[in-house]
Formats: sequence, C-alpha cells, structure tokens
Amino acid sequence: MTDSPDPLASPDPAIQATGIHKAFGVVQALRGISFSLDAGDFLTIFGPNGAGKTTLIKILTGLTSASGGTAKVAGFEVGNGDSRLRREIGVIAHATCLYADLSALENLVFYANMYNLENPEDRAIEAIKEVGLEGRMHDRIGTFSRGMQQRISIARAVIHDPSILFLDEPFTGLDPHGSRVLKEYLHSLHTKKRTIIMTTHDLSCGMEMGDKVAVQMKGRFALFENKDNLDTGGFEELYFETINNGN
Amino acid sequence: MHPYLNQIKAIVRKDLVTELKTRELFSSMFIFAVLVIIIFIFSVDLSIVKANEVGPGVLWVAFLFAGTMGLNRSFMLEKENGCLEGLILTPADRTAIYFGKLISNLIFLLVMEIFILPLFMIFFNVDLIAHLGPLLVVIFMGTLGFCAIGTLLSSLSSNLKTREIMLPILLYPLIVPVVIAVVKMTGQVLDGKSLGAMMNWIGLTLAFDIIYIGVSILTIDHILEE
Amino acid sequence: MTEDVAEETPKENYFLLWLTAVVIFAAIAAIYLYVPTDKTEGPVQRIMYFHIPSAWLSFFAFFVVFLCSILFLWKKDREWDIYAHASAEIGVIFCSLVLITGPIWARPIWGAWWVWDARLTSTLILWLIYVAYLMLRSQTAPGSMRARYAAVLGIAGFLDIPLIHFSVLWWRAFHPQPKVITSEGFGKGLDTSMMMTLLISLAAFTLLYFVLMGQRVRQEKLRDEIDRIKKEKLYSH
Repeated sequence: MTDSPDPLASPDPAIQATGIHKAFGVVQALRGISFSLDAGDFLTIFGPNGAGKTTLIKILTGLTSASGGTAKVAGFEVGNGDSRLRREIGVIAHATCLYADLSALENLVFYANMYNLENPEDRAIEAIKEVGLEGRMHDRIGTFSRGMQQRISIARAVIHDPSILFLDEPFTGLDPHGSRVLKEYLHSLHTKKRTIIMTTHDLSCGMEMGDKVAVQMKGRFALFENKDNLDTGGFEELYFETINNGN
Repeated sequence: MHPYLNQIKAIVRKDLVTELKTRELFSSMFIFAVLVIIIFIFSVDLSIVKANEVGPGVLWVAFLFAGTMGLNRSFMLEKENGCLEGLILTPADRTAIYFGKLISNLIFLLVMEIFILPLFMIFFNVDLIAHLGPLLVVIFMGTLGFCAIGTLLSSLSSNLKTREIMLPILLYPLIVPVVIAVVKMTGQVLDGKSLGAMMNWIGLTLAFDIIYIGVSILTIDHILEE
Repeated sequence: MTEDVAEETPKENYFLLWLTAVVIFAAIAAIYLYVPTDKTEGPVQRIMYFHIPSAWLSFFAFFVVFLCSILFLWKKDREWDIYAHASAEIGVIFCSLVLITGPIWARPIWGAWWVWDARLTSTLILWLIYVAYLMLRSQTAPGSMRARYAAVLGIAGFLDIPLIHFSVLWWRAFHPQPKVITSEGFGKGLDTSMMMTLLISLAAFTLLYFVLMGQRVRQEKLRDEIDRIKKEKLYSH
C-alpha cells in the first residue's frame, strides 16, 4: 500500500470535481459541477427531485461514468475503474445491500472478504458492535426490522474504514431510533476527520450536520457555501429562493 | 491467498451457504427437470422410438430449462436489497464478480444434473454407467458454455422488468450451437463411441466456451455499471 | 436547434435517394425483362435475385451492428447506439425477407415449404437473435443502460454466427451449393446475364440499406430531440 497516498494526511483535497457532465445524447443529467472538499469536510447537498444528486454520487463513487469533466476522489481519478478508489470510499443509500438469507455476521464477513481485510471475522464482529447489534449477529437479516437492517448496512459501508463516506438519502425509511444511531455515528466519523457527502431532503437535519452546504438544481450547484457564512435559521427561505431563481 | 481468488471464493461460498440454508434453488431446479423429462416421455412413445435417439435431446432440454430457472434465481438474489450495488462498490474486479457467479452457477447446475442422471437412466432404460466418463466430460463442457453466456445474460436481464421472460429469449438462440453439439455428442457417447470420434463437436463446444467467457470478461464492466 | 434539424436534409441525401430509385428500377427491369428464365428451375428461379441480396444485406447489417456495438462500448457515444439500432432493424427486415422468399422458392423446387437445411436454419436462428436484440431494446428505458446492454448482445450475437454455421452444417445440409462464389472463382457457376442481374440487384439492395439507415438515424435523432424538449418542460414547472 506504499504507492497509494494516505488520504487523511495528504494536503490534496479529499474530493476535487471539475466540470462534471453527464449526458446521453441530448438529455443532460449534470451540466458542469465543480467543487472541492478537504479531508474532514461534511457536505450536505439539497435539491429537488430530478436535480441529479444521485447521479452525482454515482459518478463520484464510480458506479457510473461521467461524460465530461474530471473528478479526483481520495487522490484517485474516478471513472477509470481504479479499485484503490473503491477501497477509500463507503456508500450508504436506500438499499441495504445485504443478503436476506444470511445472518448479519455472514453478510459482514462476506463484505470483509470482498475488501480483502485481514481477520475478516474479527473486523465484522467489531463493526456490528459499533452499531450496537452484537446481540443479534447470528440472526438472518430477513428477520431484522428496516431500521436494524439499515444499521447493519452502515456497518457494511464502513467495514473497511473508508476515508470518504457517501450517503444518498440515508434517513428515508428509518425509524427515529435508527436515524439517531445514524446521526451519532456520522458525528463520530466527522470528529475522526472522515470526509462525508450526504444528500437529503430534510433541510433542518442536513443543516445541523453538515459544515458545507450545496443546493443542486437542474444538474448544477446553485449554491455552495460554508455553513458559517449562512444564516441557519433563515436557510429554508434561502433554499426556496435559490430554487425559484433557478427555474 | 491472492485477493482476486479470495474474492471469487467469497462469492462462491456466499452462494453455497445461502443455498444450503434455503435449498430453494436446487429443489426447484431438480423438480422442474424431472417434470420436463416426464412430460417428454408422455409426448413421445418410447415403444416406437429408440431411447438412445430421443433420450439425449430430452435430457438436455431438461438441463437447459432447469438451468435457466437457476440462472434467473441466482441473479435475483443479487438484486434483492440492492446487493449487486454493494458488490460493485467493493474493490473487487468486475470479472471476479463474473467468475464468482459463473462458478456457483456451474456448481448448482452440475449437482442438479448429476442427480438427474440416475432418474434418466431408469426412465429411459439406458445404461449410463458403461459410458459415465465421456458422458460427464460432455456434460461439463456443455454446462460450462451454457453458464458462461448464461451468467453474462442473466446479469443483464436481472435489471429488466420482464427478466424471467427475457432471459430465455436472449439466451436460447445464442446457445443453439452448444445445444446441437452436446445432444449429438451425448447420443454418440450412448452409442458407445469414444470422444476421439467426435473431435469436431468437442472443438465447437470448447470454442463456444472460450469465446463466451472471453466476451464476458470484456463486456461485464459495461453491464455492471449503473 | 430546431431549425438545424429541419435544414439537415442536404442535397446528397436526395442524390442517394434518386440513385437508389434508378438502380432499383434497373434491377427490376433486369430481373423481369433482361435475364432469361432458368432452364431447369423455371420462372421461380427469379426469386433468387431478391433472396441472395436480402441475405447479403441482412448479414451486412448485422455486421454493422457488431461494429457499432464495439465502437459504442469504446466511445460511449449515443451516435453509435443509434447506428446499431437502425442497422439491426433493417437487418431483421431483410432477414425476414430471406425467410419468406426461401420457402417460396423451396416449395416447387424441393417440394416442401420448409426444410431443415443448414443455411435456412442458420438464418432462422440469426433472425431470432436479432429479434431478441430488438425486444431487449424495446423493453428497456432509453438511456445509457439500454445502449450498453444492446451493445453486449450485438457483440455476443455476431460472434455466434460462425459457431451456428458450423453446428448447423454438421447437423444437416441440403442447400444448393453456392453458385456465385465457387472454388473455381467468382461467378463461374452462373452465366453472364444472370451474374449481371444479380450484381445490379445487389447494388440496389445495398443502396437501399444506406437510404433506410439515413432515414432511421435521422428519425431517432429527432426523437431524442423531442425527449429533451419534453424533459426540459417537465422540470421547469
């Protein structure tokens, strides 16, 4: 691992996106998004449906390729299928990515093996403990409630201790307990200087957690600010103003 | 162990553990294959037709129909809860995912086929034991070709709304060469011919296996991209 | 943007159209007026001047699908996807013509509408592969996924052709030995007038392919444009 830069120590930005475009034929999903995040930043992206937030996350995580522009995540160019990039990122989306017929432990051991971690079993148990479900680690995922599944899914996403975490609408479908666990967990990751990018519809929750805020509209960032420069109380006003201006 | 092999092993192991717990795939494939054979027996009069002539065809139709069910189910498992996305996000190479699924599909199908053989022997009253060696070689080569293209196409069709219907429609025309080859070879093996006497068919089947494993390696990246 | 598309009917298109029309008339005249009736097979033999060019054209069209599929996966440009799609549609139409004209000829000559002859069988399987290709396209929402999946099938399908050819050939063979290209050289099996007629007909069909391609590609681009305008209107409210 000597050839890969340590993303926590390097002075380079954790994420550097320049003019990201996504189009197929004449239909454009993203029309040039540029931003940069330092290691340890927490960016919240708001925006109406169809703004291309999920597309942006998918491009930055390498799930889909951009049609223009460049992005560097953890020092690696996205879009050329570099597996070292995937080692540095974790993704939590609506889907849990867990096998219903396997137990929580078996699921996590499987993922630990896919990440080629040493002592996959120990690492899996540790990750389950972090989300507080060690009592049920031998139960089938299919018997878990949605909230508990999502907690195991968090453990799955961070099993390899990623330096950058992507969350796409992570709170949808979570019960109050589940979202509290998630919030606390994100907070602890934030204090550990992990870089976090989150899309959400929940304005107050997103404002509370992020330290940078973006509003995405029609495939562009209509707003990208440090939270400190914004009036937190009046953010809802600002959000709708930005969206109406964009139309 | 090498990371690449370790990842393939993890996928195969995961599929086998799931199957050992649920036994869904094996039992449905097996029963389905038995039903196909029985329906064929009703539709051909075995007192007129020689078993060696229709037998190989019936056997392979049963294998392929049941195999298609297995392929459909195998990728459905990856689509539930978005598992495939989680798999793509891991550092694993896409071809490792393909080979993992190929090997577990191959194992499921071969096990099903081995359990079907004794039934076939009894129903059609043919002696397989005398020709078991060459027969297993033929079955392995044919099933490998079927799984090679089948795994690729089921990874593709699993994203379609009409996946159960589309997989056979996409798959069957493509596997015609391998079907003709294995049915001919099985018939000749049952007639007591040696494998050396059917080198053209063996060459064709191996060419099919290699071409479609190659095509899959080259294109799987484009299918597993969102 | 809209004016661009409307004006995108350059003069060459009309030239190609007229050329094609003239050559098609020449081909029809040659088939029905110029070429003598075959001594052994009778008038039904004339269907060969449609059958062989259709077969050539469908094969050529599928080869274009193959090439455009590779280029698409390489460049990820919608342009190649449109070409592959258009070519597959044309290929399926002419492949259908092969499957229709073949039996019409076979009925008086072989005494049966359908014979499981090697070439006929290969053509049928080819037709099924590309019908499946078009079905896959019609069942997937427009976008990059549809294009990628179709491209994979376009590649896998074309590479199957030699395998299908040999498997069916060894399985059974009835088809008349090819007369056009024999071991003695090109065109030795046919007399000159027949050869001439066949060549004119081949030229007519090939030109027709390019005319149809041009139309279909333009149509598909207009459809994209409409989709884009619709989407823009949808999100502006």
